[in-house]
Amino acid sequence: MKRKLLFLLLMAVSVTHLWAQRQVTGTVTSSEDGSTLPGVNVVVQGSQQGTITDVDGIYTLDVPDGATLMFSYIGYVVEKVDAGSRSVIDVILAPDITQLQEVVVTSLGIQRDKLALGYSVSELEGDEFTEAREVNIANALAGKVAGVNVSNMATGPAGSSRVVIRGNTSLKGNNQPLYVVDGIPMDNSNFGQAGMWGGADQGDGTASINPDDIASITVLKGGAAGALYGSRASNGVILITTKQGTKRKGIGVEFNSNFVFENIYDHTDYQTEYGNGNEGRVPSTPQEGFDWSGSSAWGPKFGSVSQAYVFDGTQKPYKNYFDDGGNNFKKFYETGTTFTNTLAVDGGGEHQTYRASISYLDNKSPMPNAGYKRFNLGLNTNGTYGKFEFGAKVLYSNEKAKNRPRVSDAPGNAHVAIYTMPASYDVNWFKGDPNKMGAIWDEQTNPGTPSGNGEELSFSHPWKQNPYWAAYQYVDSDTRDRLISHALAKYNFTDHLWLRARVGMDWQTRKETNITPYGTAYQRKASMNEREIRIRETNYEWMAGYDNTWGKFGVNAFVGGNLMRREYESLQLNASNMNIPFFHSVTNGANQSYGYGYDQVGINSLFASAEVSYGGFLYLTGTARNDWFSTLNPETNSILYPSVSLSYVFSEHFKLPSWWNDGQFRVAWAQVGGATSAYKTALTYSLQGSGHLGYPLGRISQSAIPNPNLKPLTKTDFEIGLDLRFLDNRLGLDIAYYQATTTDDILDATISQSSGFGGTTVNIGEMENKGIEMLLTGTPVRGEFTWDISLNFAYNDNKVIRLDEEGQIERLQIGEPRTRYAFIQNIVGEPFSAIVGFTHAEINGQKVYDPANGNPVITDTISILGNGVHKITGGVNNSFTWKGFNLGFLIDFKLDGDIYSGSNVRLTQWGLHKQTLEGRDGIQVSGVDPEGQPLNMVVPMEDVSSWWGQYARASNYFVYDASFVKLRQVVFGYTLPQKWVTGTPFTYVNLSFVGRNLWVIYKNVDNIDPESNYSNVNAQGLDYFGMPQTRSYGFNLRVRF
Amino acid sequence: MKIYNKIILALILGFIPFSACDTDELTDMNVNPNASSEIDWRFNMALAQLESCENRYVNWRANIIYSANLIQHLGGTGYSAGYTQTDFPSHSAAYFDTYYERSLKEAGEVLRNTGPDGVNPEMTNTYNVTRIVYIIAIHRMVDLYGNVPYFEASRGIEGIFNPHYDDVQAIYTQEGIDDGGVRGGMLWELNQAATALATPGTDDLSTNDMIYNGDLTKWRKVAYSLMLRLAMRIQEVDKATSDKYIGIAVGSGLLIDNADDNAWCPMATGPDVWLNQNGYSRAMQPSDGGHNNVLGKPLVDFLKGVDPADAADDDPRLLMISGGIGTWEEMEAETSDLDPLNQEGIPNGLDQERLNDYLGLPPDTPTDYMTIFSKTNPKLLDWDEPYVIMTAGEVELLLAECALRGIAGVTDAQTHFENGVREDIRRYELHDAGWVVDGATIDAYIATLGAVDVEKVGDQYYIATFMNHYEAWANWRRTGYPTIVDKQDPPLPSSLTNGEIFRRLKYPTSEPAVNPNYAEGAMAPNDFMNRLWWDVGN
Repeated sequence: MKRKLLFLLLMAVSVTHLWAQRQVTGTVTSSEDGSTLPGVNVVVQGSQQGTITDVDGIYTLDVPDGATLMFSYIGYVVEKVDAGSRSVIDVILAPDITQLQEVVVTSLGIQRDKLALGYSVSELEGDEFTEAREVNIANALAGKVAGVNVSNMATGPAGSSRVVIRGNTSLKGNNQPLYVVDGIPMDNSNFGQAGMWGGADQGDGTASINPDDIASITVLKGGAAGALYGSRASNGVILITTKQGTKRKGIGVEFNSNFVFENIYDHTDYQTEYGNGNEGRVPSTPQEGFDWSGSSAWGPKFGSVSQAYVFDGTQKPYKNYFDDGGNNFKKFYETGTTFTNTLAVDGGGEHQTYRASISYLDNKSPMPNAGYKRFNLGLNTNGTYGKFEFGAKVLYSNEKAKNRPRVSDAPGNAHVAIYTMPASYDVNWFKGDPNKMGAIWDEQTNPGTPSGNGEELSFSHPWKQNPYWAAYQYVDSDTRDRLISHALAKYNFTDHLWLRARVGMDWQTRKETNITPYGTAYQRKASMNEREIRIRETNYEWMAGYDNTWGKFGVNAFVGGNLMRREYESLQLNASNMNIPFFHSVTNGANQSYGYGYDQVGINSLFASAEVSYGGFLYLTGTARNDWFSTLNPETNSILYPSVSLSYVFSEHFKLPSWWNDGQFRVAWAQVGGATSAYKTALTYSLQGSGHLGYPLGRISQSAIPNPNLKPLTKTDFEIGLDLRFLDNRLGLDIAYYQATTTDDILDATISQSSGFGGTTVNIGEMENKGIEMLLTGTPVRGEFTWDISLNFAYNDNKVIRLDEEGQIERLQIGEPRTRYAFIQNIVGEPFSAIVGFTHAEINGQKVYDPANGNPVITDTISILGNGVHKITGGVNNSFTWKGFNLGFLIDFKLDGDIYSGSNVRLTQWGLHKQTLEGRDGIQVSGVDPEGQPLNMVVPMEDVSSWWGQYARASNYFVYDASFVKLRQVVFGYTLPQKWVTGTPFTYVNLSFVGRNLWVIYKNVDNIDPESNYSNVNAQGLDYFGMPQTRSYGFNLRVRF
Repeated sequence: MKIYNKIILALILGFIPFSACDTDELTDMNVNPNASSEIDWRFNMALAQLESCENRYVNWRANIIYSANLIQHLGGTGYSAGYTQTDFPSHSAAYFDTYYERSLKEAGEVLRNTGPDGVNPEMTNTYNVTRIVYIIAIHRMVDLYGNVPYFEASRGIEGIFNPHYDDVQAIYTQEGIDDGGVRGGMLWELNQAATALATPGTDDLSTNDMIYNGDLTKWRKVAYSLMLRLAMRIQEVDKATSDKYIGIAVGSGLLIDNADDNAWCPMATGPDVWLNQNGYSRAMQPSDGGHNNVLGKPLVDFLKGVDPADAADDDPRLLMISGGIGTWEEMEAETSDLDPLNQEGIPNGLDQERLNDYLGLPPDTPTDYMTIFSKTNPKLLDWDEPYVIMTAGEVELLLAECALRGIAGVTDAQTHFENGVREDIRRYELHDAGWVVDGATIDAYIATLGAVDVEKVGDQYYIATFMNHYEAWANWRRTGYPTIVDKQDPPLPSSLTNGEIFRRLKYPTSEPAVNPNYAEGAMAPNDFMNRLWWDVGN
């Protein structure tokens, strides 16, 4: 895309000189992939003589004898060739990885010289996403861009991601950026996240994108960068530019194949000295075997008892089964695989280019019986006919997720059982009926009986699930069809004036099936639902632009308008108590009910932008956008978002020392903002269900109190930055400081349930983000062997400045874990997502214990214990190239953040955590009683488990430092030399070993990955029995012909 | 090409009008097609009625796991052994978590709109019936937790986001101002509503009131009967107010006939399990996750009469409350042991070892309490079993206590007592048509009870409030009856209260985290043994 545009640009301004000299001709190709390079500048050094290569990379130039030819092309190292007396000179250009990505895509798809921008943008090439892959493209951003904080969820490979740019800006609303594909906003809806009561991560919008279709991703971080997107840009913008066809002879074909294995990354380190039991003894009856099963490692020491009853009523040797083939993680989870194949063809002639791609991804999750399949089809074409330009694109995807694993609370969550089985349990016992995983199998108790009654082989209490039953009998599957399309037409009145219209649509339907199967212990007669969701977002846009230069002055301006409409509709059928056993169909339910949801939102916008430049070193840009929202009342629904930015390229103004190549200073100020979701301004009433025995039932529609006076929220943003290049561009530093304040945030503030409502929709609060971002790039070695290193680093300091003026709301509760001993809140003076909770009481620094039983006394009030969002994020990327070999690895880190581990709370209460080895025969307690009097006592052996049970309520013991350093990505590849492939159909062959999430180099949390958040909602910093993170490794093959 | 150019240019220009700032079209977009700005308040009253009798979540946690196990109507080993060892925040918070945002929310909205300052003040029947429904839902809340938001509760729409906590005393006894502006205490509210209903309004409730189909006379009886229940609760701590309201109640007409008067909410088999089915039944169904339906020893001992070895003196309710002994995976009693002499309830405070000890078996004998003791009769647990709010039997027993203690001029304790027992036995006809007990059998049983005294009244009240475990627990805290309902002795090691029966439940942990008024007005300490204002009986 960039090459093509540059080509056009250069064609327009180039002057062909015709002197009667010796003619030299040749082809310029790229060393990267062997492709020909159109638009390469070829000049005779020291003269005005020059040309550029045509669409096939071929040039012809008259050259005086003894001349030196200079080949230059943006993004490549300049090549000088002594022409000698040759008449054919073919040149291979090597990419210059240290050079500034000069041309970048900015708001509304406008391409600008990076140095003209008064704000920071980061661009990543498509290759970053296609070698070592993530199923969800957003996860692949982790550690790559300063100031972009990506959270991997503990929900398995088809789960969603959480991307936050320059800190959380909304106290409770959406904090994720706007995704724009080729200029058209893309829907990034969540289809459901696990909460306190469990559930499955139903995925999000970014999962549909095929990485092989991506040419580049541009991150617009600050307000000024995204100001032209107005209300939608308050959290930053991620622009995805897809690959386009190139002008060439014939068609180009590219085939990419990627195959990786996936395994869970087990961080557990349990005590393996004591097995299942209570008060130091093993279950002595089948009933105790069942009641105590799985969740209680308070039995006697291994070796002291030979047999114990287990959950199925049988007796088993009482010993450490982790010694037989590994722990239950190893036994339960499988080796997953992801196989992705993409075939793309492209081509084009003088007027038109096209590209078509087809891709299929097949993922088998480490979670048994779960996986994800994605089919992508991409078609696009662009053309220029005289004064007209047009383009059209269709991206189609079909996704099928099989059994998204349930996480958090126990029902249907297989991980709970795996996490909480003591060493005296072997998960294989839970397989039950070999013909129906997890079901009762009479063979166990009545040998010779082929199978049981088909119901769950349950344990402990009914709300805990047999992990095989959860994996194989539950259904949480969905399929999504999605079409992202756009069409544009542009008319160039003159070289300076143009008009463009564009329409784009993101349309998707999703069908879900969720089944709690017949025979499940807590729901014996089954329940299920079928849900269909339809979402359509349409954008209509027009723009008129003018650009011109007068002497040293230049102007680049445009005005435009946009009309956005979004519709959401859901239809749901629920059924429970199946009439015919084991037949899961909504038509079979004795109880059937339905649900229906609909909402519609619209935004009308007008916008304008003007850039004035002087002398090629000073650029001043001002923009304005006015949005009108459907979701607010007419008195308050309009807001103007202005921005102004300045770029001063002092290296173009002054002559700098020769070792100093480039220098730019930039400063920007902007206001962006946002509105709210539909139907929050007026109190309305609805009818409940189908009534009751013929009596109609009425209810208030809203669970949060509506507010007619809502106005748009505002984020005011300031940034300042420097971009410096030294030593022939071998050393670069890009540094930015920003400060952003969000005011009048719109949110459902949590209020007392006794008001009748869980929340009230209000404009409140003020929150500030301040931070520094730095990108340091270097090329310590350049030559045949090249070593490039880049370090990106960001520090974000977030603070809640103020909540409401009336003082009715002192804290905003945004999340609660299943233990209910801790909360996630926004508190004045604290950073977003504070972890708070009840703690072990202290008097004058002495721990307080209950004299009646020695138990820790837990406070009745809550304290701030940590923060769920990391302040420091970054990554170090190393890349080595030698001949055809390349080796790259990315180490990323997040520091200064915390996590409340509900898993460790349960592991402690249930005696699996190593810390519970202490005092198994009696705990020595020394502290004070509630009156402050010294207390020393020994808690007897039979009360030790309840002592730890009480201890686990003290949340201060379970908030961990969630800092980590991870080896996130490794790519080791080899590109076959050109001479090997010459004569074969191939023009380029590259084979790489790739790996993702290979090694947690540093962490500080017991038993879990520091990235164990089970949901991508705002309440960050909560762990509770999520799916363990996976590591992947395999191969990537890329072939062009 | 020229013409072509013009056509394309015209198409491009055609887009421009699209983004004109037509805010009318935008505003119309924000009207929810599935909701209305107006509603018939009687529809919300109906939902408030239904939700005051729901649902599985709250019945399982507050009514069964806590109230029923504490009062030993039900029991088990370990998990539910008198339930004094478990402090699950979700369980003790369930009533608070559920009622304010459901029944009380809708009732509050009806009161706001049909009260004197509302948009439909002419809907006096709807207003006054809903006041009574509000008290039905909130009095259990007060009795479970103690101080709770009351006067400012359910007023989020008016801008009261974090209501103050009110003292139990004020919630019971405070007088209100009769302009509907300020809500009075529960007793005052009931009196106002019942008095107002004596003059019927124009709004017909016959197709909206699922409990009495708009029969206001019966609503007045419910109001006075609840008044009697609540006034009796404070007899020991504020005799003057108690006597005053008992006097009003006794003189104004009470629920005295099951078949005609009972305050029972009708339930249905569907379509929605969460909305239409009886939540208590659902919570007890093994197929729906419930498993604690084993009867407690105090209850079964009462039902077996003076001589446990003689079936002749048994309470006729024995095999209506008990469905027998056996496995009943799907709650079908066909395999159960229905011999009255074999019926047995589980004692309080057993774990597996103590159970074997109790049964005289070696400690490691495989025993399952679920198959050893009597269980709740599945005939009481149909999906569409009516949900019991209050019965005539309870009213008569309260009157008997009044007569015995000389309150409000009530006399003839023996008759009231016998009527109470008789009415409660007869109420089972309404649960199952096969349970018609002939008068002679009832009289024979009553004869075994002998002369009435306060303790016998308390014991019968305990039986009569089976399934309304909330009320049984509250009455036990006031009176100390039945005395055989007592602490675990010896306590289980894991008991949080050394085996003592809880005096209240703990608030949701979210309240101290969210409501700034919590610290000032809530019960402190927030533990299970802190007594309510009226809890002075034992």
